[in-house]
Amino acid sequence: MRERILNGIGIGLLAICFVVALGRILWPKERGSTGEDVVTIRIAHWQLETGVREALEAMAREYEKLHPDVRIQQIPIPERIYTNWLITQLIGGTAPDIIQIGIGMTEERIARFFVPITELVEQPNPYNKGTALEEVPMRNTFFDGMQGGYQENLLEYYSVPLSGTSIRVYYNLELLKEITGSDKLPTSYREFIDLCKTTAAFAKANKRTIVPIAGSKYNGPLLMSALFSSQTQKLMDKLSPTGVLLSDSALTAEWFAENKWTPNSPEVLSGLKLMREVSEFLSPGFMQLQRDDATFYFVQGRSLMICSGSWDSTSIQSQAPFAVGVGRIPFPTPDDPIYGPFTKGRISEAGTLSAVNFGLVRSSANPAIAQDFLLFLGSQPANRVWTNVSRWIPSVVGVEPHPAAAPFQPLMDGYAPGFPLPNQADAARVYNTNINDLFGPEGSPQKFADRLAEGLLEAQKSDLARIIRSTSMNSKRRDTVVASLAVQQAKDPGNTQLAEKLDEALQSIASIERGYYLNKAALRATETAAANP
Amino acid sequence: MSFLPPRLLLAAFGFLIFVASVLAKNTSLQSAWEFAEVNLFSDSNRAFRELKGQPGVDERERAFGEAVTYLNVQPRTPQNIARSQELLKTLISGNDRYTQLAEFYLARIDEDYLIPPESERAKAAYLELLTRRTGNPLVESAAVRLALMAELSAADPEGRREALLATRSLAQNLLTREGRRDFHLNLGLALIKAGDLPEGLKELLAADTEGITRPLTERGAWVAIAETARVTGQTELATKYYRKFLEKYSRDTRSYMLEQRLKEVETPQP
Repeated sequence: MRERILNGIGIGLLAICFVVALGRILWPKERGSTGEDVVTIRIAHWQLETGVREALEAMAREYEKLHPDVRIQQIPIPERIYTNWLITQLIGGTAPDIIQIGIGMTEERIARFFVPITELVEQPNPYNKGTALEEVPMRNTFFDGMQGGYQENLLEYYSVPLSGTSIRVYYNLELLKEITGSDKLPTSYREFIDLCKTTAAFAKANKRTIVPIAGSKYNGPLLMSALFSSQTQKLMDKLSPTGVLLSDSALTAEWFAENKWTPNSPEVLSGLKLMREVSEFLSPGFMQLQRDDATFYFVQGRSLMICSGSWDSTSIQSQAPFAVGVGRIPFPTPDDPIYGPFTKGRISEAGTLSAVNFGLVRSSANPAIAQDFLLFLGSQPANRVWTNVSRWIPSVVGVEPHPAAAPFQPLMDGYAPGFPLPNQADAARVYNTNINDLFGPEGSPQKFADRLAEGLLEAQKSDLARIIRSTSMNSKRRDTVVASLAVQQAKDPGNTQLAEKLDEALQSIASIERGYYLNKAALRATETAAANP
Repeated sequence: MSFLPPRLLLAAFGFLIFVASVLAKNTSLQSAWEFAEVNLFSDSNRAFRELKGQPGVDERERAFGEAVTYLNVQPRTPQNIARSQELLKTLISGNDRYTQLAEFYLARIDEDYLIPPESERAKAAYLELLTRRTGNPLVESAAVRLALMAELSAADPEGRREALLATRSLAQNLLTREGRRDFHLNLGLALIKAGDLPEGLKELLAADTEGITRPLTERGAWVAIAETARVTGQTELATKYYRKFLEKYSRDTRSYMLEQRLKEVETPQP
């Protein structure tokens, strides 16, 4: 009898679970339009940093004031599970109306599950009415011309960006004053290194556990790779006197194969020396530490500085029990006695693209309202709310950043960076497996350069072959797309939008093909060099 | 009161059904192309295949659509590429836009889809297509491909330069603005890389005259023109392009650097 009752309870529970699960599946589809004549629009993202959820809530409430029959529901998803969650939702047809585009997105997913908004962004944003941007096409209302929302390979705009980003050095101002007697931040590399030395000496003299810079495998390279590229600026100009003045991995690889630069070139050795010098002031064993470890170290007051992105600003400032100062990465200046000869000067951030992009999901039950909310998110008034609450950089022109975000505004007065150390898969493997020869106690720039010289050529061969395959795939995808555009345009010659899209596609293909052949030339040079050591 | 005879009514009804069916099929071809336009190649290929034999469907257009979508149906197998080739071959006997496009795509398959590629056959087909002066911008993009192949044909800069200059005559077969622009631009960049700055500069200027509309491409071209002009001592030209760039693209990683270069070229040399 008891067993039968227990079985009955078990079956009953199972039945309830089934009904609840069924309801949970059906519910979201119905939730778009409730019986109370209130429509709910759901928006999902992975930005769990302090301030972002609050900013989106504030923007949502502003929108709801304008549209009392709409409710905005925010769904923050941890970055770690975002891809899996996203795929399940999109394929299951249960995705929110608006989703942050980035992590886990392939072009096919974007094309299949998101609505292109190109036509929309060619028109002024109605939510900019009454502002200076009232008559301006929406895409031109973003600081980067909305390049952050453009999908190059799909030839369409798919998302509206909310923010900009930059990399900065954060300072513990209280500790800085305690160590130096002043809260003046260093403005040059020399001052920065002197500060690191002073901090290390202060810690030793006072028997305090303080490192100059909190480091991790995330934060350390952010600082060091930027500094390295200051040392190859002049070299890049010399190798490519009439190029487009931007580093290009294919050309860098070809120059390497042609022995125009080697890991033992003075410029590269100088860059490695710079990295080694900075590494001595980072947390011991930083390449084994995680990003959170470094942040924790800094907010606990156990380091004077940390290098990170603007996206960490609100989190750091809200967790740190001390005043935080923010400064630009202190690049060596041309008059620096050691690193000056190879640098042109500080590095520009003018090319930074907008970020935190939101796209409209095809399966939205209320596409018109979701689209309207997306327009609102991309407007000047909403972006003002964004920066004031999140304290992140605004993406819309004419929006003054919140005072706390102002130090993160991209700086325009700088030079283009030189080329970085090759960082594709196999080159990165050579780099990482030998990194102890650069940063370790027995390491040195020369030792590490010798290791790179031994392994880089072979690594470049496989990396270039991989890049060629990937560029070829990209080019092949365009073959079908451009055929579609050419046929449609021929059938409808008066359609200017199609004509423009075809024109853009042809130029884009020519550019991809050029990259494809440049990589082939680099691979040929690399194979020749490998065969004739 | 008069009534239309029943037969006439029936005929009118039949005609309406036919028109509706034609319109429906055109819409389907259109949607098949639209799938392809947004990279949904398998959906597009399925749609083209389903339209086979349907009344009112342009069979040549449909077959061309099926062929070009086979190039990207996943997984990309040799069988699918062979299917594409077979379909394209059925189209080259005609005399319409699909004939030229089919020939172009057969050459593309030779160039990049076959393992190993049939580069020489692709080159010959591209040349033949260009000689016919088709006036189709997509077909004319064959000239860009020939220039790039020429760039790769020699390892040494002098050999590359000669091979590139030999392709110059292709420009006379290009009837569209797009075809000329993209050819001049790529030839110019390749010549500069091969060390022939004066000829490279001429080509870049020719491309710019035709009108570059893609911002990313225009930025690169203008910087290359300004820099090459500066290095070859054409100060006025360099100044013009530095200014053009800074006026239009003030927000670029290179802007500050180009401002400095502009100041340099504008400062009278002692």
